[in-house]
Amino acid sequence: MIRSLPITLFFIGICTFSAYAQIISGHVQDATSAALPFASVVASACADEQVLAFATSDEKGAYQLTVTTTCDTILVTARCLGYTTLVKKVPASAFTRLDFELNASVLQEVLIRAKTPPIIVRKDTTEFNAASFSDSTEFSVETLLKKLPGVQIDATGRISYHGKAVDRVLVEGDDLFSQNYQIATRNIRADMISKVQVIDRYEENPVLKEFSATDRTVMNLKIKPDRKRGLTGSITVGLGYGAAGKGRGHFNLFSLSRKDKLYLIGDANNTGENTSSVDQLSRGDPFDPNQQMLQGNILEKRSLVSTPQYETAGLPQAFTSINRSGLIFVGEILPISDHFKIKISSWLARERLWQTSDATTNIQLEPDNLTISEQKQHNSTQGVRNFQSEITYYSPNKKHALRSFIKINGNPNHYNIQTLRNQTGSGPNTVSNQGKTRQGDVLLSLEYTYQYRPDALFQVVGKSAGQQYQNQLNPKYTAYAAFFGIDSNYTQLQQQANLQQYKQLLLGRFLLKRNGFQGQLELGGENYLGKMQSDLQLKTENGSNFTPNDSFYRNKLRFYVPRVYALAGLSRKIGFWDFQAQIKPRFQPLSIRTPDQTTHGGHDWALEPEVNMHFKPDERNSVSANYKFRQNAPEITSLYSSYFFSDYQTLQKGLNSLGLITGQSAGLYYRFIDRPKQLSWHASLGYQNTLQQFGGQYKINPYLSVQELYRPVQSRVLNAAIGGSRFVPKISCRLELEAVLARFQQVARLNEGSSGVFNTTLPLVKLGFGTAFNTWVNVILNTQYSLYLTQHENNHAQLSSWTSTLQIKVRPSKSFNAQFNIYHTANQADPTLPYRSFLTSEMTAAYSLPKWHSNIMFQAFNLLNNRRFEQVSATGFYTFRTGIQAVKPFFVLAWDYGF
Amino acid sequence: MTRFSLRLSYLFVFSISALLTFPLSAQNTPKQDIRALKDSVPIGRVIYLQNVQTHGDINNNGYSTLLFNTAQSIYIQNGAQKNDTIVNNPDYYLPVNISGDKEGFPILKLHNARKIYCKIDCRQAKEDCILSDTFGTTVWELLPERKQFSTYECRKAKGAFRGRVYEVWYTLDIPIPSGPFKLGGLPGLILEAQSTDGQVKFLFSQLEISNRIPGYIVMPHGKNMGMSYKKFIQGELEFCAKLEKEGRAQGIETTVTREVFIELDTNN
Repeated sequence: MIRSLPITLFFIGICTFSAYAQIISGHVQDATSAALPFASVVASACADEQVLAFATSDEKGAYQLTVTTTCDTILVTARCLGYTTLVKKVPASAFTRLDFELNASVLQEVLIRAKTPPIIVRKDTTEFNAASFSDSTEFSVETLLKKLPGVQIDATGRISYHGKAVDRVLVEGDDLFSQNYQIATRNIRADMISKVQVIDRYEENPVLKEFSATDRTVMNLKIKPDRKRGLTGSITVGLGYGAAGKGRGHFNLFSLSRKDKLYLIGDANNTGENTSSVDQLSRGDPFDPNQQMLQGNILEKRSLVSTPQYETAGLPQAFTSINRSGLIFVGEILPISDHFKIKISSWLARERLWQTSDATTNIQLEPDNLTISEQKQHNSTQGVRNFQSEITYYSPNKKHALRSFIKINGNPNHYNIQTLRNQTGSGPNTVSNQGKTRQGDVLLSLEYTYQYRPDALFQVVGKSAGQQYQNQLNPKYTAYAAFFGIDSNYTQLQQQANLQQYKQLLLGRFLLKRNGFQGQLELGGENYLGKMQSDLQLKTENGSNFTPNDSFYRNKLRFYVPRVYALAGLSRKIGFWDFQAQIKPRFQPLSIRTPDQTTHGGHDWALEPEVNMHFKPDERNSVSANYKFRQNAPEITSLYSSYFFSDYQTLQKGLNSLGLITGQSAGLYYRFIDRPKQLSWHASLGYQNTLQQFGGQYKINPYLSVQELYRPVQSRVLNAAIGGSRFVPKISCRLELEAVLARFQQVARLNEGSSGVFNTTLPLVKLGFGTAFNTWVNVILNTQYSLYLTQHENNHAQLSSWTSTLQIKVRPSKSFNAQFNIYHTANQADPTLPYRSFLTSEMTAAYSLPKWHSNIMFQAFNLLNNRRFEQVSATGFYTFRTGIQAVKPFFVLAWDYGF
Repeated sequence: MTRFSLRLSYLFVFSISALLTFPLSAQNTPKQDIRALKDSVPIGRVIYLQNVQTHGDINNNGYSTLLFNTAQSIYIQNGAQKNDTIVNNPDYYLPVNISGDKEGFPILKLHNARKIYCKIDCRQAKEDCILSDTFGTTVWELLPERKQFSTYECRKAKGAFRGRVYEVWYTLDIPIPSGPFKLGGLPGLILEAQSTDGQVKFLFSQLEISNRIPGYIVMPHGKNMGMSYKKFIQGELEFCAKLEKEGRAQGIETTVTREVFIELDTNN
């Protein structure tokens, strides 16, 4: 019995274990009996088609499968691309021979795309897939950008990403718009964009890339591949009616199929689209003190006479001003070769604005109150003419870079404000405030960079800039006669003012990186020449002239500052820490020449130290701290020695002496950003202290006598900010929060008299919420609360304001969508007074006709028919109430054709 | 016939024979053999989103393309930089070279020959090196899970390759034994692959099957080292050990290691 046990167990095992090890082999061939190599042969279980074994046919078409299964039958499938699939059912047995004959079939063309992730993070680039955030109702790129998590856009169109300002917006990697990227974001159609890339630590010069510690953030718009054609774009034409006829025309014409690319953008409307964009365009490129950017200006643009600003009551300007605007932009990229590229762009813009407003001032005087009421008609015309060209050459080995930039810019503008004034105890009085300005500036830049060793680089930069500014102030005002002590018929003032500035710069920069150290040595020379002259006359209506005393009211000066400087900087990385220190000794003799004398400044030498520290323990957290000390030459616009009208009511005089203006600033900044999760927090603390010289300033007021104005001697600014944003992809929602507390303190002096301290506190809270649902409704809400508190001696004033924008988009069907923009603004001058609150709205509805590549759009404006927007501010001494007449409701019907 | 004309005729015959034999001898080099593949025209293309967290490959992240036909396929890392660059990496005191390649460090796979030719950055040559490797060495565990990628039903498989375990989704409807990177050897095309440690991801983005796919499946440009990937890595490790030894000989305790790449070892 014991001996027979193994045999018994063997037979029991055979009976219970019924899995077969089966060998299937054969050939795969086509209909002509030719061997078919690379065919896939798969054996699978009958029940669930689970793959049991697989093989690929060899060059003779032979295959062999070894299958272990408990099934009775097996499915054997032979597949080959371009041939029909053949399935054979075979019984399970020890060895099976199975041949396949596959018939050729037409290869079925297939194209499938996965849903692209909404956000892709790669090195310094965060890429947003436009389709994931778009519900296809967005008109301009700006409306699309408003939906991206972390992206914020202010009323002027400036973009920030996670609290950091976006410096440039590129299209397909090319910078055509410079600082004025609103042209792109407000005019390029959203449906042309496939991806939006945000690039941190952007360096425009590839040779400098590994040497530069740039902190610039730029945005790059990628055009959809199917729109890169010989001619693509859109045309929009609309007509409407309200209080007057309304019209709108817009086009984008792009040619992107060839290596050279052409962009043509045009817009003309009187429907409030892109209002105030011309004002933004005329500001030009910012002054770049460190000369790190090719397009950075070496000259700070100055103006002598301030242009009166329009009231907005916290609303978009389209609600408070009537416009007539036009813009045309031409941009071309000409790649001569892979390494040599020319970029040309030019724009012309003109905008005319009208506004009707009123103001009432109640002044508590003993024994009676004084009330001044004003009715204002404000209109202005502003223009921009800009041409710029950038030529870049990068050698194939990326060791040499030669870049040049030229920019020619002109900004003509004129304004006219007619004011009808009434005051307690006197009759009506008309003031006509007119001014005309012509301004032009030129910038030429040339830069050569040579990386002669992997760790060393040399750069030469040459720049030349000039500005010409002419202003004619031509107001009519009855108070001039009393002020100048002349006959009351002299009511018209004519002031001619000219300003010319020229600056040339040549610098050589040497950068070396070794053993964790990076050194910078820079030697440079600058030459600044400023000329300013002004003279004024008073006139009567019948043409009589009066010229006041020359020495008091006529300026003619020449301000000359030659400058030689050296800059030595060192940075060191130790683990997660990065330390940078630099010092800039400068020799800059200041001299002014007036018709009667030449004055030299006493302080020829200046020393400017700067220290920066950066701590970055990982990709998400970073802490920065910095300290700077500055000693700048004064601006030419604060140097004139005779009196000058900076607006029709304010007469001011420049510095009495010539010297450097010192200032120091310090900051601490913490930033947490988890880009894949789109979660960010930032906190900052900043302090700035500037010591200034002062001149004299009078305000000419016909009712309260001539008034001396305080001018700042020392300014201190302390600000703290905290903010964060979070995007939750699962629910496609984003939330943003920003809180800022700023405190300004100014020590100011009267012309020859005592000084006073002015304190201003400005707490501000912003909240944003947005959805990017792929459903029929989407919402974006932005709300902001700010409090403005001022205090001078025992006088306190405050103004709290709350503005909100709610955008609701509805898309009930694929062919129809509607967007409602609701604006709420409220302000309160005193906690005891009620809030003045306004609600206004606009809507756009669009019906798409895909067969005709068209949309029919209907736009209605100021739906709630507001008549007037009012704001009040008050102190214990006076109450100031302003009211702006609202733009009357209108509608526009437009046709939009995309191709 | 004069001596001069005889010399001239010799010269003529020599020139003609040289002209005829030179191209033949050139074609006999292994490099030319490999580049002159019979079927270089792709019939399909898969675009993956490559997301790799390893130090050695993080700079190649972005979209990548697999061009395939039944006989061979080539994987191109489009996210790689076009040229070499030197960056200041905060983890190091010295500037670090980031390798770039105009072709995107391609990996050519010959399906039936079970051969791989991959291009990598190497210190042995000024240009990038071509190394050989074995294709389809992964032993896949075929799992019952299924997932739909548009019209394609995909099946799950799990297998170890070079120190990492990968979970992949492949489709039997496209009988191509290839996939992203060096992965392959399944009865269908791999449309998505992820390592279980989360460090390596090849996510499906797009599939196109057409007779008009641009590009060719050809041998990558570069210096053919005539050695396998395994041998190359052995050489690199020996080089690191040699540097360590030299450092110690000078009294400096030195540790020299390779950067971490997708492939952690040379097993299977």
